[in-house]
Amino acid sequence: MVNKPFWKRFPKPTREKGFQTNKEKMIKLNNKRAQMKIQQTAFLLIAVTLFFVLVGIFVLSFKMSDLKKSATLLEEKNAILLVSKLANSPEFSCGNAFGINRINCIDADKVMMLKKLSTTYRRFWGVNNIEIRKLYPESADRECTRETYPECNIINIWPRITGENYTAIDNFVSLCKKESKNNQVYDKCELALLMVDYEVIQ
Amino acid sequence: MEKKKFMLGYLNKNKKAFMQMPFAWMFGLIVGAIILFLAIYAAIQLGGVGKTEQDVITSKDLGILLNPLEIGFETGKTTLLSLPKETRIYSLCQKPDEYEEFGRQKFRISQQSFGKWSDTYLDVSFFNKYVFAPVPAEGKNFMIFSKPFEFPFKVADLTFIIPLEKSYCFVNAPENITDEIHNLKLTENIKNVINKDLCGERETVYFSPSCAHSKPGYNTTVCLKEKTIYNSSGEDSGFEGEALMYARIFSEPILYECQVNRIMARVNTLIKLYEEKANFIAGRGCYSSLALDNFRLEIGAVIAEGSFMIKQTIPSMQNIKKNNEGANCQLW
Repeated sequence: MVNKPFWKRFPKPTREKGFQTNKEKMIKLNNKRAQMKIQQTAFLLIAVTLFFVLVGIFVLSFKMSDLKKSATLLEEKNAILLVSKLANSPEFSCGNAFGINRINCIDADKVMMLKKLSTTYRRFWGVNNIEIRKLYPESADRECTRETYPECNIINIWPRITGENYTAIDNFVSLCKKESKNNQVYDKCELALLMVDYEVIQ
Repeated sequence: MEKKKFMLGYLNKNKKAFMQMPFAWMFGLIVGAIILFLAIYAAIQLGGVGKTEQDVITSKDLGILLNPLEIGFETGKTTLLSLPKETRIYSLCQKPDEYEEFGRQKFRISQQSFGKWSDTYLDVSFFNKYVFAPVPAEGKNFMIFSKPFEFPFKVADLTFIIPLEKSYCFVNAPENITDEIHNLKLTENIKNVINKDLCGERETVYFSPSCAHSKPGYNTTVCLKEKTIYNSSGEDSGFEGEALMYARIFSEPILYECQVNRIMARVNTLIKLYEEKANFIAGRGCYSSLALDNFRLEIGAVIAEGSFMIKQTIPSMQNIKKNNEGANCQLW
């Protein structure tokens, strides 16, 4: 005789729909418990992942803000060091055009022509704008163009962008140009402010 | 029988428990390992990004710190750059093209940490700098000096970076060069001698009043009359003025030719600027008739063919210089 387990020796009881044996109830209960456990694990995994994602976002945003701060500091440093030496670069400097070699002297006639080549020089100095503002003798604000020059006091190499994101560093310079009176050409030098605009990265 | 059933049930339950425990452990171990791996990977990546960030900041800082070397009255300026770590400075150059009229000066910095060089792939670009240096310039301390390049008007300030450990030996150098080296306080890097035997392990540069090829046994030969510099492999480059001569001595031919190309592109733009200025001030009775057209064509030849064409431009350049000095209104 085959050694069957004793519960297999009897025919399966017929049952009505919806009827469950104790064993089936136990299996169902176990299934539910297992499902609960899987759900718990899944939730835990989601929570752990979320936690790491949040930590990652926090670290990245911290690093990004640090990076932006460094970038702005470098821009500022560049503007400070550039403004002190820009007047000596060949596109601005007076050279010997006004008699002797002058330091921190800007040739206004040359700068007016530089405005014409402003597209070529757009990224050359790595700043947003360069402005030269005549300080003395005082006069009403008037932008210099081919038409208004020399009866003007502000030379912008590029159109000036104003706003919270832009700030300027300045330096005193002498602004010299050739003028003529009664067919006599003479040199005219005035006090001016050289301003370099840079972008504050936010 | 009931006992047997109970035992079987017990065993069955224990078997389940036995199966459940390792699964929980294994699951925990696998997930833990994955999380740990991801965390370590992220930390390494962030560390790498941090190193790259530091290298890029140093590159940008280096370019910015070169601003004060812009020259006013002086004939040259020297400064010492000290970095906290062993550093490799790569001075790279990008030739002008249709989009970037002045080309680019690029810096790439690699720093040593725990005996390993950081692997930087990001360059920082500047458009208004011309830096000549060995590639790479390696060390902790660097001598940086600059000299203006005039052709015949001031074109740019050329910057030279020499590691403090790197030394050169100038043999038979003319007096004006030995004096300048002394005035620029470069005597630690550059030794002036008459006999090559006194050079030791230094890189040798021979100055000849006139020559047509490199002198055997020297790393570099400068032919002063011919305005040509040869390296030991016979490659030749043209120069004009002391600034370009130093440029070729302290850098490789590839970097030199690229930078000369950029400098000449700036000369071309400055010619345009001075032409515009000449017309502009002529309206106020200020005349400065300079024939710049021919000079511009010659500069175009240098840009197209290379530094050896520089000597062809010298007569025009000297002529323009003379005319400007004698003009009613000097342009520069």
